[in-house]
This record gives sequence, C-alpha cells and structure tokens, in this order.
Amino acid sequence: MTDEDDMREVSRELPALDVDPDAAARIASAARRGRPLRRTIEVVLVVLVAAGFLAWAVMKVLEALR
Amino acid sequence: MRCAYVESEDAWLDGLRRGEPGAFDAVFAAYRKRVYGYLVRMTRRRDVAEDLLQETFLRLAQHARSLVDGTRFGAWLFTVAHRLVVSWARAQQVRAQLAGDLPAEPVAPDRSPRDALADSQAHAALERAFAALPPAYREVALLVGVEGMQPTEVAQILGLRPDAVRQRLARARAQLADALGDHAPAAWRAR
Repeated sequence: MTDEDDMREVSRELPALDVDPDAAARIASAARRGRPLRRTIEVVLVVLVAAGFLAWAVMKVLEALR
Repeated sequence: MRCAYVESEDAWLDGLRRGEPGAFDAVFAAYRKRVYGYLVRMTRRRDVAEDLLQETFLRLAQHARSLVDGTRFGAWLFTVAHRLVVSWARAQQVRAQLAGDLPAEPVAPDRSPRDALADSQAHAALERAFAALPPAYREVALLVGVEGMQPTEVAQILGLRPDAVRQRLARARAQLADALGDHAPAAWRAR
C-alpha cells in the first residue's frame, strides 16, 4: 500500500463535520447576496487613506533629501 | 430547479455563469460539508470555519461569471479555502505576537454534544492525531486522505511540486502512525 492508500484508509474513520442547517442556510444566503455595499465602501476608504498616507510620507522623505 | 443540476459539474458551471441561484445552491450542497470539514480541521475553530466557509462561497458567487470551461469546483473551492486559511493563520500569528501569546496547544475541533456522544475512543484519538500534525502536513493529509485527491491535484491547490506533496504525505503518515499507536490500522502496524 502507498502512503496515499494508507491516508485514505485511516481518514475514512474521521467523522464527517457539518454546519448546523440554520447556519448553512444563513451562510448560503449571505454568500449568494454578495458582499454588502458598506463593506466594499469600507475597503475603498481604507485603501484611499493608506495610499494618501503613503504619498504624504514619500513627499516628506523627498523634501528631507532635497 | 435543483434537480436540473444534480448530474454534472458542467451543468452547475453553465448555471452559475448564467447567474442561476439553483446552480449556486447545488454547488453549495455538494461541497459545503467537505470544505467545512477541511476548514474546521485546519483552523480548529468552528466559528472561524463558518466565516471562512461563507467567504469561500462568497468568492464563488463573485467569480461565477468568469469561471472558465472545465473548472472543477473541488479544486477551485479548496484553492480559495487554502488561501483563506493561510491569511487567517498569518493574522493569528501577528495577533499572538502583538499580544505576546504562547502558540495554541493542538486541540481537537469543538464538538457538538451530539457529535461528542457519537465519537468512539478511536475516532477521538484519530481526530487528536490529525490536529497534532503540523498545518503543512495536516493540509496534505486532509486533501489526499479525506478528499481523495491525487498529489498532483493537491500540488496545484497548494502551489507546490508533486514531490513536495508526496514528501509531506509520507511525513504526515509517519507522525500519524506514531501518534495513533494501538489505534493505527492493523495494516499500518504491520509495516
């Protein structure tokens, strides 16, 4: 037997795991609806703030080097 | 509606690309348990596994229209789940370093009372042995052992060479055999 066969044999004894039906329905529904607009806006804002800070820091470094 | 999608992944793929909710539901029903089991055993936390399961299928819904012909949902979903686990583990490491925490002890995933009742001693030993494997070995062991994937497929999912997957698998098997002791399958003990 190969390591693959061995691993499959022993893994058959592992109990199956599952989310409870309510959680499964909630997860499926949330995934189908997609990411909420608020979350998308949050991500955009964080990226803008980070990019702005980075640009400011680069300008300051360039100023100091002049 | 769902019956139309029972037979083949190609039908699910077509349905998903057309934005049909029945196709999404069919894929979710087919892969939910498998992806969730992988996530619980990789993160050792049911709450985190539920969040990552949702994120995995959220990404499927987001990318549904751009899936290419021949996409295999197993490989696609486990690739996303693997990346999410890696990101989560990195965030955990940073959090632990910031808090000065010690690394968490390997523990079996949380069990519901019903699951716990159904567990035999051997099952519990096996679950603990898997939980004690280093994550890199555990991941390969789960994908090959539980999911029945070939090392080449696992290599694609994890971004590794097939040889590296086989090496990790051999090490995982050796560590499992040591950890299981008397609970190891008879054929293992004979080798």
